[in-house]
Formats: sequence, C-alpha cells, structure tokens
Amino acid sequence: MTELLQLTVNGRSQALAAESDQTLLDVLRNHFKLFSVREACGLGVCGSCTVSLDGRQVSSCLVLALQAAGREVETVEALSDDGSLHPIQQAFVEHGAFQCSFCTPGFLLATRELLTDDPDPTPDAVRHYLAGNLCRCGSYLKIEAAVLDAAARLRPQTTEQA
Amino acid sequence: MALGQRIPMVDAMARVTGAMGFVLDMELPGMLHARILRSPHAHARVIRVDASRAAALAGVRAVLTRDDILGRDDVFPTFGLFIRDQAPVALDKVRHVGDPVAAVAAVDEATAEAALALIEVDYEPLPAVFDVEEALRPGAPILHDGARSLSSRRPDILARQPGFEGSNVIHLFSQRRGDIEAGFAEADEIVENVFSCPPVQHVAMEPHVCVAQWQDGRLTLWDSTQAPNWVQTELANLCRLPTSDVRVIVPTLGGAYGAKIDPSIEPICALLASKAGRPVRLALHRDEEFFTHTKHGARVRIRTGAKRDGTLVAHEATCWYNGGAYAKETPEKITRGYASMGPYRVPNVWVDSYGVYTNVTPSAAFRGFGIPQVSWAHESQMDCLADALGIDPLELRLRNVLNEGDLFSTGEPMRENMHYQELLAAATERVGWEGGPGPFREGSRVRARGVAAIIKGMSAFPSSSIAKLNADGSMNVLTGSVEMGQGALTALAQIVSDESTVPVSRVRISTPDTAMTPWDQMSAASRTTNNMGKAMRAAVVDVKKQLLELASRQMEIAVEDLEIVAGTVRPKDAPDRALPFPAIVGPARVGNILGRGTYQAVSHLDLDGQGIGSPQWHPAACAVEVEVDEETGRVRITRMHVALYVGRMINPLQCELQVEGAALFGVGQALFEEILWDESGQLINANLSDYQIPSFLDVPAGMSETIMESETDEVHGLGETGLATVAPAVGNAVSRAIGVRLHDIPLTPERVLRAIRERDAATEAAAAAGRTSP
Repeated sequence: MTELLQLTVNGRSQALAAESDQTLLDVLRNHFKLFSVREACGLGVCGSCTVSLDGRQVSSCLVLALQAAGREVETVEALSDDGSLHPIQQAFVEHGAFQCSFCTPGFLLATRELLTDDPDPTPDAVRHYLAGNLCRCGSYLKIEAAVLDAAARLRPQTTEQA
Repeated sequence: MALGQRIPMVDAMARVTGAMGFVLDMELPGMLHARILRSPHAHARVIRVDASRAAALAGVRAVLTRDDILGRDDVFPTFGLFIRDQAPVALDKVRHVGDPVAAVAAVDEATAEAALALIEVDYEPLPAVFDVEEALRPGAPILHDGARSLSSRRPDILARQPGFEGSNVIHLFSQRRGDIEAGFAEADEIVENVFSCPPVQHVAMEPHVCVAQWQDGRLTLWDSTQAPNWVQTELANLCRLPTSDVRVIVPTLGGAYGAKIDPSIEPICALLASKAGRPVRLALHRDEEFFTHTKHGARVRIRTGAKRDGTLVAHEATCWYNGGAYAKETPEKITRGYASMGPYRVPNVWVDSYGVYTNVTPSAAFRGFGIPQVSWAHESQMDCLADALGIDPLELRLRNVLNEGDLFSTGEPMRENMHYQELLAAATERVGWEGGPGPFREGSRVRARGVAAIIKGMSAFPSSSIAKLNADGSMNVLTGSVEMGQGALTALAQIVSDESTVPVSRVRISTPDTAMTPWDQMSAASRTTNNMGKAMRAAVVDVKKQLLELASRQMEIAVEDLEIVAGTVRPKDAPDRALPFPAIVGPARVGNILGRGTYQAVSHLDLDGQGIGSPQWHPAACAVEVEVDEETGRVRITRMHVALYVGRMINPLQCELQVEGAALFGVGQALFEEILWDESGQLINANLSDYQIPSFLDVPAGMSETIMESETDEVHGLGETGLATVAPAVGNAVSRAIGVRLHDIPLTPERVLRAIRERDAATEAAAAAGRTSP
C-alpha cells in the first residue's frame, strides 16, 4: 500500500509517497539519492546502512520509511554540510581509518553518537561501542586511533559550549 | 620526495563524505533491475525450463534462459579464465546449490523477484559429491562430461588437460625434485599428517554489481571487477564481439579480496541487457555472494623427513584444493603446492596438487591465493616435527629457513636477502617467547605461544600504462589497475611523482576504462604496486626523454647536458636557467607529451614444477600468545605480532592498513570463519548473522606488526602476505596449550572443547588401564 509521508532528511523536510513495506534505506537511496547509505547484510548486523534517527543510530535496513515519518533523519552528508569536514571525518582522513570505505559512513555516524554519549572514551569503550560496525578490510586499529584523536579534538569545544 | 610518505589516500575526501561513487550507485535512463533464479539442487539435470508466465508479468522486460544461449551463433555458450566450463545460466545441468538457472530484468527489483517465482523448472536430481577425495574415486558422480573448451594456452594446460576429461580433476600440478626415496631413507625422523581448512567467503562489504548497456551493437559494462581486461576478453568471446567493442569501466570497489577477478554475473547482465534493449543493473544480495565465489577448502597430506639435528631432507605432499562446480582460477591456484614445504631448504621434494570439481559453490581467488591452505599444513607439521625431535619450534625453523642463494622447491635460488631470522626474532620477541612456548596453566585457563613462517610469490602478468604530461605541467596517467581500498591510486601517484618530480597533488591516476586504458591483467596477486608501478615508471621515463629532447631544441643545449629537477629542466652547469615543464610543453605545440610503459615479469614452471615460480618472493612470520579456557574451549589471542620483509615501502600508512587487514582475515579464518553445507549441499550459514567476520571485538588485544624495509628499490606487494601466517601460529599455540594437535581450522570453541574432552577421556582410560593391569 502506498502512503504519503513527511521526512526530514539532513535538515530538509520533504513529502513523498512510500510503500508501507519500504525500508528507510530504500527511500534514502532511491528517493533522496543518498548513496552513502549502503546495504551490506540486510539484517542489521553490519552497520553499513547506519543513519541517525532523532540523534540515535539505527540500521536503516531494519527501519520502515513510515516509522521515520515526522522524525529527523541524518546521513553522513550532514557531517560536512557546511562544506568543511567534521573533526571526526578529519581524524579518519589523517589516521587513514578506512580502506575501501564502503563501511565508513556508518562508522562516522556511530562515532559521533559515541562521542556525544562519552566524550572521553577508553580504547576498550571504543571497541565495544563500534562492535556493531563491520569493516572487512580490517582498518580497526586506525579507526580506534582516529576516534580517540577525534574525541580529544572535540573535547575543548564541548567544554566551551557547556 | 614522494616515496615513503605517509600521505592519506588521494580520494580520502570522497571516502569520508559518502561521495565515493560505487557501481552500486550507477543509474542510467531506462535502467532495468535483474534477479537470478538459482538451483535448489546440488547436482541435477535440467529437464524443462518454461519462462512464459514470467515473461508475461507486467513490468518484466526480459527473461534469460538456456533457450537464449543454445543453438545461437551470436553467443558462445560458456566462459572461464582457463577452462570455459561455466554457462551464464544452466544449459544441461546445475552443479551446485545456487547455480543460476534463469534471470529476469524488470522495471524494479521487486517485480524481477516476483517473476522468478513464475519460472517453471523441472529437474532430475543426480548424485552429488562434496568431498575432494571422494570426487576422485572411481564411480564418483562426474560434474563435467565430454571435451573441455580451453581458454588458456599455458603449456601445462595444453599438455595435461586431455587426460582429465571425463574426470573430476580440474587440473594437476606436480613437483619432482631430487630423490624422494633417498631423502626419506636418509631421515632419522619421519612425520606424517593430514591437515584441512574449509571454504570461507570473501564478504566484501560491496556485493558483486554490474550495469550493462548496449549501443549500436557494442557493449559497455560498469562492473565491480578486479580484472577489467579479463572481463572484457571473456565477454567479447561470449558475445562474439571484437575486444574493441566491449568496454569495461570500473570506478572503485567496496572491497574484493579475490572475489571479483573471475567473471561471474557479467554474462547474465550483458545478455539480459541485449535481450531487453535497455540497460540492466544486477546487484547480488548477501546470500548470493556465498553462491558465487568462495576460498578453496583444502586437504593436505604431508610427510616430512628430517635428520636428528632438525635438517629437513624430504618433503612429500598431496594437496587437494576443492574447486567447486567450475574451474575458475583453480588451474593457477593449485600451483601453490610449490610452497607446501614452506620457506625451508628441502633437497628432495615430491608434490601432487589437485584441483577438484565438486558440487559446491565454485572457488575463486582469495587473498593469499593458495598459500594459506598449504601454510596451515606445513607450519602445523613443523611443530609436530619439532616435538618429535625434541627441538624448540622456533629453533627448528631457524635451522631450515631459506636464505639468499638457497634453492626453493622450484629449483630457483632466493634472489635477495629473505630476512627470515630477523622476522622470526621480531615476531617471537613481541609475544614473550624468551619464556618458551608454554603451556602455562592458571586454573582452567592455559596460555601458550605459537610461531609460523611462510613464503608467498607474486604472479607475473603484463601491465601497461600511458602517461600524459599536460601543458600546465600536471600529469594524467592511464591505467587498468583497480582501486579497491588497497590505496593503488595513492601509491601509484607517489611512484609517478617520484619518477616525474611532479607533486602528487598534480598527478591524476585514472580508473580503468578498457576503451582508453591500456592492458593490466588484474589488480590482485600482490602485483599492482610492483608491476603497474614499474610500467608507470617506464611511461614517465618515456615522457622525460621526449621532454629533454624538446628542451634541448628550445635551449640549444645537448640532452646529455640537461637534467630534470623539481618540475623543471635545467642545464647541469647552470641551475638558474631552469625552465618549468609548462615553458617547454607549451611552446613545443604538441598539446601534451605522451609516454608509454609496459612491464612484464617472468615466471615459468615446467611439468616437474621446476623453473621460476615467482619474479620475487615475499617472506613473513607471525607469533601469537593465546589463552584457552579449558572449560569452554574458547580461544583468546592475547598477543600477536606479524612481521614482513617488503623491500621498499611507498606509503607506510597504506602498508600498515594492508598488513593489519590481512592479519585480521587470518584471525577470522583461524578461529571462526567457515562456510557450512548440509548433506544435500544446502548452505546453512549464507548470511552475516550465522557467518561472522571479525569485528572490533575480535582484534587481538596486543596486535602489532613489523614491516621491514631494505635500502634496495625493489617493491614487494604486501596485501596478502601476512594472512597465511596467522592460522598456523594460532593453531600451534592452541595445540601446545591443550596438549593435543589440532588438524583442522577454524578453532571454534566446539572443536577445541572436543579435543580437550578426547584428551581427558584418553588420559582416564590410560589411568584405568594402569589400575587394572598388574
């Protein structure tokens, strides 16, 4: 059944028609053309299709588009909305925290949520928090270094805001 | 100085902003979406295929069945890189569960999927065979009958293949060196074992995906392939087109690891697009990856003879690589039997290495290419031998490793310092080997250490490149090498920058487009940085030669009195008269300067496996410390160090990523990765929930690496080398911890626990026997 819904994606609100069984992943890729959202497992276990829904990360392959109606959806494109890289992205680049980078958008969004929850994570906390994102190229050691470095870069800023 | 710089990948911005652009993101006007109907049987004759109801479904634009292939003079029915034994969709038989039977192109994927259910297929099930040794027994079900269509002109294929027709032998590689009987007669100790490793899946996060479009009878494919020129060649043969009319474009890959070398889905996509008269996109779902390509499962029977002091004198091995339903690259893969004795001096060698057809998913290249299968065997065997001789396992290796000038199994000498002593020392020091290998028991937890060393080659295939020096002094370099996350674009730009003196930021390396980029065999086999790097250097040297000639005319100074320094040409005796490149190219009215370069490394083995096995040899070692929980069977790697000698590093950051990534592939294969079939050949874990790959929590706590360089300019590939060292190092540590030799990976808690219980039962039985006997 086709339903009309209002989706707010990366700050812009848009009305669209979606099938009742259509996933958020499908709508983000095929309607919004946000190709940073990538399906790799279709089961919610790999984290490649991670997006932020009202500030919390979800696997968009497990969320129906209708469930996201009226809520704020963010993809990795939101991180560099102003044309400059987010400090997390900057840290990923400098530490070489990716190889094929298919999984990278998911890691970036998961990292942002981690650093919101815990601005000063231990290496162990990083490993546990990001265990739901799979990187087959195995860039984990560099990701860990990038996340810890990004945390350090973001901390003074957070203190100022507080 | 661009070499040795830790620069981020040249396309890093696109990678972190989600703008990378994979084939998965391709869209063309009018593009259709395809799905594949797959066999539910492991082996069956296809009696009837009726797609009329599917073709009539609203939204369906084309259905591909054997009727579109058989009896047609515009389609060659089969494809394959060595033996053309695979059809786009089943012709007479299906040979594994998941074998494509038909395919549909429709306006969207859901419609294509719905149409699959309307295709009627009648099968006559046939007996199936899954085990390599059973497949070679008389009376075993034969997968491929009749004459074979050979696509390779390799001498050993032409010489041996006729004898294998009508059997399940895909191909046989043999090695005969010295006198094996005399070798064993000389031995004080002889050890014999059988080791096995299962098929595993590559699990590139990006699945196989292809978009095909026909225009004016010419075919264009946007394809997630590591071998655009091979796909071009095979598709030209399949579609009976000149090579020039097949264009393969590869943007970048979301991982590959060997899965994307052999053509697989491309023939289906191309034939559907032809029939539909519209572009077709075919993207596999995760489960279909498990039906497409796997790593070869393998069994290796190995018999080793040594003198009392540990000197190896005889090595005899039979390797069975499970090729699955189609030959793919198996004829090449099995030649890695040449490394079945490991990186050691052994004067007497006898090896038979079989590739075998069975009714499982076809095996393809997989990171490590045949070496992990034999390294699991030879390094486990070295520990068995060390224990039999009462020699420390590290010491036994040090006494036998290949040094410069020593002869390998192929009869060729090691042509450079192999550094095994330093690599083994570096690896073992970092896991606390000075305390001995163990075991060290604390309650139910036992710690122990293991070590392994391996040797890996690099395939010798041609690579060509064209370099363009533009009028503004920037450079474009054309290459068929594929960026798949290994950082090829970055390393190659650094090499071009080094040779040309043009800064990396002004060097653009192309991605493959076979309409424009010159031949490169494939981005695989640890060869791109070395082979394509050398082709590009040659192309830049060609550019520089022309540039100096133009400058010579313009400056009226002899070429030999000029030099190129930092983007300028200048007289050797008057550096102040330097002319920047643009001041030479512009006035010359040539538009740009074109240079071309080709590199072809040489390797050749005769029918006794003697000759040159690889243009260069890659040594590596690994040591681990593990902790085994004897109550649960769970293995934890507490320390791990991989050590490689790599010649010269182009980009240390990318090198570390490759080495760490390969090591984690090794961890997965050592501890848990395994594709499982039931007795009818049905895959039972074809998804990422039941088939797990290493996550952050599987990264060993103390994981580190040594990447040893030399002062030579020789560049080793290093994307695969470390992988093969890990499983045997872990296996040796676990076997030492529990006091039972483990012969099969993965070392799952179930398998380890079973070994512990068998050990305890045997101990108890022995004790009971001791009590009852007088």
